[in-house]
Amino acid sequence: MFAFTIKRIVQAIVVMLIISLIGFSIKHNFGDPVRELVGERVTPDERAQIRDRLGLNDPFLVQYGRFLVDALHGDLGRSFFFKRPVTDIILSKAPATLELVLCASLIVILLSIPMGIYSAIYPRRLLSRLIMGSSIVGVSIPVFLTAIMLIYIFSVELGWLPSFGRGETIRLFGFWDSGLLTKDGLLHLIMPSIALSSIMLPLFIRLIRSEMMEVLESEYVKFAWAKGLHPRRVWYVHAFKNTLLPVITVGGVQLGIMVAFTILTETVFQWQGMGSMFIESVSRADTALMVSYIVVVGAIFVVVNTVVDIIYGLVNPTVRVSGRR
Amino acid sequence: MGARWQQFKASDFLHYFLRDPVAYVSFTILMVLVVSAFAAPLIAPHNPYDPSTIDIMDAETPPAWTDQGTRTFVLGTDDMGRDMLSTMLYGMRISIIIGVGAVFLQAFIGIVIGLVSGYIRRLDNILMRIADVQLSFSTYMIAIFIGAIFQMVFGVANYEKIAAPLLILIIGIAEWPQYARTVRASVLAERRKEYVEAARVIGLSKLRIMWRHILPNTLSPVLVISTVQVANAIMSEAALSFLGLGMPLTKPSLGALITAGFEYIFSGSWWITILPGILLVLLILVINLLGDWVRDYLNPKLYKG
Repeated sequence: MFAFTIKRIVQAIVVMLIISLIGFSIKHNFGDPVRELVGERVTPDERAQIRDRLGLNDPFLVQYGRFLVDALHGDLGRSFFFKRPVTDIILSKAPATLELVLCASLIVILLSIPMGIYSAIYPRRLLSRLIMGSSIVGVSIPVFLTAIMLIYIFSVELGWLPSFGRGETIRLFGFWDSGLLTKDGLLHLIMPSIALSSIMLPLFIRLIRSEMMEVLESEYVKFAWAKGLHPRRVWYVHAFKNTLLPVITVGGVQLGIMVAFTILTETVFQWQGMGSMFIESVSRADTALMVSYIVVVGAIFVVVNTVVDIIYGLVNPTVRVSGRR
Repeated sequence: MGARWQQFKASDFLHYFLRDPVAYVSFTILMVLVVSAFAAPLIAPHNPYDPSTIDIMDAETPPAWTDQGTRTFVLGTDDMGRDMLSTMLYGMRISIIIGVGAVFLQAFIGIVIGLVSGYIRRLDNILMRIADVQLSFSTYMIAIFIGAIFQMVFGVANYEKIAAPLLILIIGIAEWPQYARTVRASVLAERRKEYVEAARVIGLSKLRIMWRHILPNTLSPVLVISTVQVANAIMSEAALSFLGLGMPLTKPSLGALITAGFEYIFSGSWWITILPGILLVLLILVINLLGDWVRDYLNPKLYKG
């Protein structure tokens, strides 16, 4: 187990180094730190001086080393558009995205588990067929289209829900702008979280259903039936517990997909989170901000995946031997 | 030729295909969509790429069945005065070309890497690690990142000029691991069999064994995932276009059309967004349904979930 954990951590570090190298070479070739610092109105002489002082004439690898050291200290450069350190900007945008992901995951968990179990227990019932049928339709609808349709129905036609922004927020602990505590903020959260969960929900229903159906066929469940246990006990205690393991593993990996879809959802709803910030930084050619988003999100992914893998290794010893799922 | 046809007519494939209404209905719809997309220059009532036929005064005409609709524009017009029906047909052609092109590219990259990694054990570990890492990042994320980087490298104006091949490249790079894993798995199963052993004993080169002997036997799972991958690629393209990293508005794909209409939804012009949206969903849905059917028919054990 120890060797497995070390191996996974080393791999995570290598991946992070590669991501930072890609990020840095984009910044090195296309960003202009002098412009990010002082803007356009500086004479060429002063510009050259600043370049020298910032060490921009050093060899590539020296600069990359400096970038790494700075990044480890939480300094990823300054945004040319916002005129602030990018770490500050990302930190100020993160709560919006995290709250959105949290609400969407809650919807996914609360709906997919009962629906998945139901359609596994009664695969031939009409409701199960409806669930499975609508899940394949759900997979086929792009998330931004779901969002647009929601806006059209509930904002434009019915006028029930606000169509953009986060509404009223309350500042918690001095840095966390939360929309979860005001009625207005919650109203603004409804449609974005439904849109974001719409893509995960069908996947999870199908996953839970197929895992559960497999478990229901296994020997120990047959034995439980033979013992004459109450059906509910067999389903929820014996069978469901064992479907959770693969579901959690896949769930951890799906987090990445969720982050990718926050970019789309936030763009539609003009949600002031990290995703819309990223797309804006691309269109403004704000290299420093764009690169740091890639690095930060990459780091989140790598950490989550490593942790999920290690937990999986703890629970399921067979992966440790082969080192691979 | 006649014998082949007879053989096909008597095959299990056709029999099961005709027995399953989901399969033949979605196949028919898909054929209608593909044919009308590629026949767009012949059947479309207007040419959306020809600025001289477009009149800005026609902009935002609603579809014909509504009160202000006209017979000239059956499905209404978009914000630039282009006929929606024609623009959607041309847009669907672009979406399909990019989707299929991207799948060819990812299949090519994936098959080469899968073969190499399955047959040459020394490279296996590193190649599959790369595939794992890329998969864990989700293909959308990778596609969006590569798109963003490309746009920064080429600049917005140049990016739009070569958007279609770039999109094929982006989606191709983003989704190869699916193929690599599938091919590798079947190569690992095939390489132990006698015929490969025999080929090695004869003294054939590794390259020849991989291409001529192993590859043909790994193609059936490749075909199975290809159908669903086309739907995924079309969806990725739509997502990229929606974010402004895809087709320009002068040559819109379905995704770009949806984006273009989004602003007008608030003023009540729903058709500019909703109609291409419905077409996109229909296209992806029938491909997914067909893909599911092919998968169940060819290899019920290949996938679960």
